[in-house]
Amino acid sequence: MTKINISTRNSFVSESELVDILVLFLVDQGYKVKLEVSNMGQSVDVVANKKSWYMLVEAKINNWKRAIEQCQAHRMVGDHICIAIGTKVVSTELLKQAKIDGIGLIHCSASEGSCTWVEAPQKNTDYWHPERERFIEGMKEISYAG
Amino acid sequence: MPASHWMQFATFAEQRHFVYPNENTYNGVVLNANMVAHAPGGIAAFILEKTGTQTSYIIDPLTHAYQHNPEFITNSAGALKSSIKSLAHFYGSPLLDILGDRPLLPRDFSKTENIVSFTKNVIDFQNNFLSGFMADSGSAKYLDDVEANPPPYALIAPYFYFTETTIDLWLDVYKKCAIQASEYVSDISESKFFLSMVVSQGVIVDEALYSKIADSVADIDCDGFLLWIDNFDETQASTKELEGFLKFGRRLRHGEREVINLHGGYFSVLASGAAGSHAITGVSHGPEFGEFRSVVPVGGGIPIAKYYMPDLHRRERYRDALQIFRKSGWLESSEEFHSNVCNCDECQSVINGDIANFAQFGDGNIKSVKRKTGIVRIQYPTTETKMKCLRHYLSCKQMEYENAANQPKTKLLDDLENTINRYEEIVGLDGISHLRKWHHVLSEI
Repeated sequence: MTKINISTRNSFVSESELVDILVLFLVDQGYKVKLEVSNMGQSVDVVANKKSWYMLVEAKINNWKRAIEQCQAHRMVGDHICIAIGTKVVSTELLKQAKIDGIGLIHCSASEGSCTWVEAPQKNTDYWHPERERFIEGMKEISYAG
Repeated sequence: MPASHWMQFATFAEQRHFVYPNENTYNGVVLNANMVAHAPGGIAAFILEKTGTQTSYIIDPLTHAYQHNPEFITNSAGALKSSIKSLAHFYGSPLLDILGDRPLLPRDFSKTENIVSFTKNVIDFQNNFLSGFMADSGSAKYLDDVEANPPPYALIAPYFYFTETTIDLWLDVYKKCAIQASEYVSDISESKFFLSMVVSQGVIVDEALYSKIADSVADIDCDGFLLWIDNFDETQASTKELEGFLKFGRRLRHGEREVINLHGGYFSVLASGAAGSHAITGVSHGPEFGEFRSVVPVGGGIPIAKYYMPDLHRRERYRDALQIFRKSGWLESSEEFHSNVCNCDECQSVINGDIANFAQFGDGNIKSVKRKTGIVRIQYPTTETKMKCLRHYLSCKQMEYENAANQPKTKLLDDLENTINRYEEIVGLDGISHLRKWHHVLSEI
């Protein structure tokens, strides 16, 4: 597993630090990754693509409730929806809500400088093809990260 | 009597929509005086060429603008906005004496001569300023004298913003201006004479306060009021605020006076009709926005595409509307959509038999925006998207006004209840709470 040695801190200073290790984690897993992808007036932090599958990831240092809200719109376009959370431990409330909503969960550890899967995302069948096509088209101009 | 339907002029980009969906949709246009001062030729041409033959206009003198912190009437460079400055020159003293230095205060009107001259100038501006520009307009030669120089529907007295703490400080000046204006208008014009009532939300929930205001103007000879409650979003207001709004409207009506809510939505439309026992008589809104508005401007924010939900009577972000429709199965086909969501001309035109075309209500161009955290990519609605959303909104508005005018109260309340039942599981209790409140308040009348 690729790690980033960011510091001896126990917490992330910024979301971009979290995203940096998240990108390496996803690339290690065989995904092609793009950042800050526009989706219906919002910006998705990370879109990870494997073959024709698109996984939309909201990265948050701790505000997981906001991430859950943002994920609702992502259901209109993505095959899998995930939250990458940077808290020291994953709260049971978040885990419970993620399971209910079929949202995947990735824990990103500042102290370890690495990520692990906590909950795999369920296949999202709520997407709407016309909007998904627009979303995929809109990603073409964005370069790959990692 | 149906609610009079007014729309506010915002920018010249929307001017062609004042005859949409048809020429007789709007009873009138509300023009802000600073826009009139800034672009009189364009405004004159707009009135003569872009509005229906039965569409009147009112010029809101915007005298309240000068009582706030001058920073709200300055541009990003710190200079007074040119339109505000132009207007101030017409209004004269005491405004010109303090312009840009400090806000207007009640003591600036301590001299009777200031009340008289200021009031006269405010009325004269509304009554006379556009005349020459209308005469010079290219279309004037095709019109008779009256058609080429239509007077305003009503002339508005100078007015000031009342909050719970400033009513007692401004009311005397307000009343003196109102009396002065009433006498002057009756001498010079056959236009109606209105007062403008701009109040904070705290006023409408305090019966003593709004009664005081209403009582103070009860004896003034006027035909009606423009009403503006600061940032009064009917879809977020409490039951008490909605009730206060109706009661205040009724007090101002004093029997037969007109009361036009300058920034209102469907609740105001209902309030104007049988459902609200005619608490007010008319409603104005902007071209898609402006169903509520802050007295002190609060700008900013990224423009996003919003689709007006006919059943919920409010605009939703495109992505939220999409989720609602997807969840409900109304995006399965164009037939499902038109049966369950909207069958207006614009939706029929956009969807054109292919439900995938609904996405056009959310189309945008992606731009990179610099944030503290780095660059993010945000989608801004295209001009075409904004126009589609606007035309759909205006079609819905026309249907709302027509329904409120033609349906009995029981049917209108049943419609609210049916929507509550239909949408409860889709949007949750919070999503339809405003309909419950409206139903409750209107049922109690």
